[in-house]
Amino acid sequence: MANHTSTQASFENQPTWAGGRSPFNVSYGKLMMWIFLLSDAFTFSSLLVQYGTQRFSNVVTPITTKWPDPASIFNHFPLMHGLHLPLLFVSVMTFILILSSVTMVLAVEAGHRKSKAEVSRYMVYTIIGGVAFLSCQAWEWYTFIHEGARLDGNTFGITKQGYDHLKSVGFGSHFEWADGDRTFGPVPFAALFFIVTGFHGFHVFSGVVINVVVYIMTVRGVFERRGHYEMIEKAGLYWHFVDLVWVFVFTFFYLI
Amino acid sequence: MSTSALHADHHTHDHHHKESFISKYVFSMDHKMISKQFLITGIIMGIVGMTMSLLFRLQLAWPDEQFGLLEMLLGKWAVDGKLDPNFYMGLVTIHGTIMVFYVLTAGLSGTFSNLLIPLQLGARDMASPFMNMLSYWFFLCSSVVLLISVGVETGPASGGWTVYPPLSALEKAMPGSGLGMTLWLVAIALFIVSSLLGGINYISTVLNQRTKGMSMNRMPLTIWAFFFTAILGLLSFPVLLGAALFLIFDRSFGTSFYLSDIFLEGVGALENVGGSPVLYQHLFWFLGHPEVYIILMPALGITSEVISTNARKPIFGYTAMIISLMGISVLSFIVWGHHMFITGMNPFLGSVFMILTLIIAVPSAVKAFNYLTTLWRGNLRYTPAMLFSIGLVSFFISGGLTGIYLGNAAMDIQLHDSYFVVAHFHLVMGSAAIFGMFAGIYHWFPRMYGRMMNNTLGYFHFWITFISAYLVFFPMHFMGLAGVPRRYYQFTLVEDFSVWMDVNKLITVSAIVGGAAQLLFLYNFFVSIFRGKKAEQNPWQSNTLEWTSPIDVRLHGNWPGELPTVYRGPYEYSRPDRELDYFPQNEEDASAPEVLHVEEKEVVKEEAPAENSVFFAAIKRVFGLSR
Amino acid sequence: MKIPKKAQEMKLTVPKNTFNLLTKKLLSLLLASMATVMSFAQAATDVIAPPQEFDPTSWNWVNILICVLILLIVLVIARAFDIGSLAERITGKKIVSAHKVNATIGLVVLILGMAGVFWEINAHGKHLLLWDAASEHGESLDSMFMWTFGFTFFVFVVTEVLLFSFMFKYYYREDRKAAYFFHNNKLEVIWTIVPAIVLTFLVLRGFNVWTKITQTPNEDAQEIEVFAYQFGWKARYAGEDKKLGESSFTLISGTNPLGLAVDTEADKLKETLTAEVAELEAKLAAADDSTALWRSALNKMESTGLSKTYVSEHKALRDKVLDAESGAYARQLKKEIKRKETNLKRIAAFRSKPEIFNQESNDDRVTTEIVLVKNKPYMFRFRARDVIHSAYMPEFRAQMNCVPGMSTVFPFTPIKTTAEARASKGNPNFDYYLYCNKICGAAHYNMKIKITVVGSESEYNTWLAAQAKMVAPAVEAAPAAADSTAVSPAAVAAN
Repeated sequence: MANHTSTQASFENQPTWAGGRSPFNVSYGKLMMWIFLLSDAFTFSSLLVQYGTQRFSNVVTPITTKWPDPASIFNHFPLMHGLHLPLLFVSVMTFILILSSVTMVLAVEAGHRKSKAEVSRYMVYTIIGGVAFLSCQAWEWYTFIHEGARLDGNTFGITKQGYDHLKSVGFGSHFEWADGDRTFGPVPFAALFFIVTGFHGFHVFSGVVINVVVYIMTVRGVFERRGHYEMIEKAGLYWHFVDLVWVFVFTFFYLI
Repeated sequence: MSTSALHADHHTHDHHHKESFISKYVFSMDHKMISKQFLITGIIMGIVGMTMSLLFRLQLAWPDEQFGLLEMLLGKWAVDGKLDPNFYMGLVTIHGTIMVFYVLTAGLSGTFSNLLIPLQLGARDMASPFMNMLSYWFFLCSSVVLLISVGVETGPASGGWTVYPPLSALEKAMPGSGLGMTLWLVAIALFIVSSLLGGINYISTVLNQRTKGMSMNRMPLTIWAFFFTAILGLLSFPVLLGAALFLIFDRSFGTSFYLSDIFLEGVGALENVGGSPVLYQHLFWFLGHPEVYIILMPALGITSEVISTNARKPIFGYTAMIISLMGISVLSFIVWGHHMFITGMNPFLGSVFMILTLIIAVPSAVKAFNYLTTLWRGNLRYTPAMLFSIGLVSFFISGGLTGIYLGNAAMDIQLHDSYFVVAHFHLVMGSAAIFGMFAGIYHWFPRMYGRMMNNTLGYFHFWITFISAYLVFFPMHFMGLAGVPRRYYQFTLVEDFSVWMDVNKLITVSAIVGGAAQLLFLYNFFVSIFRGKKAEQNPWQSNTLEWTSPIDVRLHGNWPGELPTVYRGPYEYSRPDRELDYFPQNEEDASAPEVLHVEEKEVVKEEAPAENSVFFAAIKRVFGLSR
Repeated sequence: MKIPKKAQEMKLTVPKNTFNLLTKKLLSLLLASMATVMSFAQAATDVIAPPQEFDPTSWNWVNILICVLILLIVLVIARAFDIGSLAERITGKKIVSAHKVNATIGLVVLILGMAGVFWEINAHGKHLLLWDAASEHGESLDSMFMWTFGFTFFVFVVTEVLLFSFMFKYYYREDRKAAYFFHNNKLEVIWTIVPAIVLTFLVLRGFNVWTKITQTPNEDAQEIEVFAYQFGWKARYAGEDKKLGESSFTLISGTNPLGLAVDTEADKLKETLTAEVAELEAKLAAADDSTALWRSALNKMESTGLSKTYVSEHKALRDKVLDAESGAYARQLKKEIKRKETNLKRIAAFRSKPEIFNQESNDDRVTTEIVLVKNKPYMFRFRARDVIHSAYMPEFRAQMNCVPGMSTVFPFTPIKTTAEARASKGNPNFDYYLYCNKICGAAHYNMKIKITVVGSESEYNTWLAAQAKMVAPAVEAAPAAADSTAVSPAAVAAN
């Protein structure tokens, strides 16, 4: 490319949008990643819209809902049977994922300094974080299924105590009493949990695969030869996005 | 910022010598070849879709006639030569799916976005040629899956192209909701992937790969249209993906997202409770409405370019055209509810959607008037491409006007799902977009294949298609106004509707004639690829950059030497101070060499470079800040 | 620019006029096929009465003449183009400009097209439902339609005429040069503002009418429930208590097609379901035995060679055996049992709620026809049993979707009796109908229910008294299905 230097020189003089350069000062790869993430955000939005609709259609009065209280369901912690530890485990999961995002930032920063050793070290940390998150999720799913969560039905409802109270104030007809100690909850409750966290888990899994590939490329010195560590930045963008989505999923499914 | 990363154009022009047959024609990464692949696949799908429409038109016109040919073709779906009602629904569904997604989304915007974005912007190729190739192969797989679904034993998906659950979710509700529906969903999922890969590529190419001097407000309107189309697709297709995901779970894993309180004949009461079928419709139409503009806008872009070139006249209101494209794009995301006025959604919400919907008519009207004014006092050369563009404008107006009836919630009570709707969308997005596609093919055929298509055949093709399209769709308005519902297998069982049998016959005959005219096109197209007259470098004396890249050899990299530099907008036709009636974008103006310098001065003056973008130009114009 | 040598050599050595020759051949082929299609259509239109196969003797002379005429016209146009190119080739100058020919065709098409539009309005206008709405709100809807029609038709004619006359006037001539202008702010502002104003007018009108139709509460309106299923309609009228009782899809049975909360029906259904569950459980217990039985039958069939004679039976049996051996059969049975048990549980839950089983449904009447009284306000409540349907009453300008799991409403007041409509239409057999207007399956096209509007309350009362009430069902029980795997008795069979 003989005209390369001249093109470069003229970049500085050209207005941002006049062509011959990137108006955002980013490479096409990074731009594409941003655009992809925008699009992916819409996929997650459609899932969360479905969730919101189901959730609100189960509101009986402003303060009464048929939706089961997540804190009373997700209250388990590995090796601590029988203890009521609401949302502790999922908080740990969230912390792990955020931590792996931090190590990713460090990897990107090391990439700017072109320090191969540091990049590969932080990539390892990030991969470990991702794998740890996925393992935690597997345990969470296992426990949930073990407790009776199924795609095609739902035994999680409000408790006997709550049911009796609601019946006494005249909302009894909104609920169907189950055999156990709960009402039949809204059917899509567990299915929504599996689909949305599953879809997010799939994203985390893809992220881990990408990170592993990038890590191998780093170790083999591909980026060193290329002269820049931009691939780390792209993988990082994706990883942060996955993290951000988890924050939303966490908020909607567990906290609210 | 390193420059090597900035430029994807590391494909130099001497690259193509090493290409093998496979890498050149099959797994090609050259955007020009990919565009041809999209086009040919689109044409094949178009033939399939059109044949299907003729089959069900036959049924509608002669419901009691027996066609031995049909039995030969369809076997058990046409016993004694009479079409099976279930298969009729299947044909309607697959016809809709093929035409909307495969021909007019991928076939139209896939072909011309791929061909024109790099060529008209002066780029060596798409931002990521590899993803571009993937996009085509996903599309091809998707087409194959969809075609296979037509042949499965229980028949293709047959709940209409919108596949509303519960009909599409319950295998026992109709035969087509079995394996056929599953394959339909797989095909659409693959299609969405293809469309996203393409869209990401188009957007980043338009933003990043423009050549020197090609500022946003010098881009041809085609590129603007493709750009907005890609944005629409990028943001709306994922929502369909989400909707399809839930539908798949409802179908296969017993969840109840769209199902509630159902008692099915021959099965009994189902377990599902708590879902909402209407939610699917909301999610679907959040894609579905932008999809209409995904189909139409590339056709409008092509028309702008073809009309301006062949009228030898600058397009009227370049900025207004862009603003209306932008307005249509933004509004298209917030009007989906007008497909659902009578689904029982909140009436107040209905009024809001009605108001937003009718606002869209304003930018559309601006576009139509701008086309008219571009023709006014032009010097109109009637190439087939120009004729098809004029046909598009005609359809756009007559189909668009009926949108005012349908967007009005009160009138929609009467017209919803009647033949009026069929007439409306077949004119405004069906025929109009197909005509845009034809215009594009006739106009850029020399660019694609280095040869010319035959004009005489093109004229016949145009006039027969134009007249028959009007004969097919115009009478449908009247049927709709008489309360004839769409998707009916036959009308003779209802006395009120049987008065329309004559009209049905007229429609079918016109459709067959129109279909036969497409044979002319196919013949012209495929013979011209091999035997057409060799094309000159710039056969239409056009201004845009694609005609500066050598037309008779295929270069992977588009330009042999340096990339062209752009000095002016794309529509400088019939400039009074020039002898020639065109002025290519890359030609340096000898008489007024300050063109480039003016820009440099501007840079010194204005530190905020975004000022140069068309967005700001538009705002300036609105407030009267510019000349 | 340098062209590679190879590309130059690739130039195909085809005679110059091959393409033209081929073109002509194809054209004549196409014309012949078009002519055939035309006459075929003509012939088919001629023979309207009895459906019969295509008879070639019905080609009369007129048809053939028409075909020949069309052929000639097309050929003349083709010659016109050809002479142009021939002369061009000889003299090197353009003699007949293709631009001029196309411009002229455009003008002709415009004139013929506009004539066609007016002819069509004239010919088909009488069938349209534009001027005699049979409901109160329908009249305001019709007037709005006429306003919109006036506006859009004006724009349609003006723009199409402009388009094609520009096309005719400004066709390409070498000595002309097009005007050079980019935009005109004043003009553009005008055609942004004017449509906006007109649309505002239409939107406001539409908004008013829409609000009036959908959001006007009317306490006096009589409620009628319209119930949709694959493929038919039922209506429900309240009894003496003027109240439509509660209902649920879990209670639907052959004798209770709408699933009304009636004690006797619920008990009956409970018994049926319990028996069915017991039967299924017995089948499940005997699944291994039946598998062996079927397997031996299949082996016998195959060994005796009967499988070659009874191909479809053999295939069915083989599928059954494969299902049973893979465990799919047992899984299916288990699923069925679970479904029925859920249903039983739900019925029990309902039965325990006195606010649902409040005896209001007992005197409701389920009918297969809708009868309305003129000038009386009605509130239609729509329910669907299986998939989405749409209740479309074009004469009343009314339509609403029927969605399973969701109750929708549409109010209207009929203002014309069936007899009046018959008189005004001049058709003594005319009847109002409610059609299905949302794709719902194979028989979607034949899913309708008759609506009769009567002039007086007494006529209505006589009709209503003849309809059976829920508690004393006159509808006979459905013939029990012989095969108990076909689950609950078919609801439609009872009717």
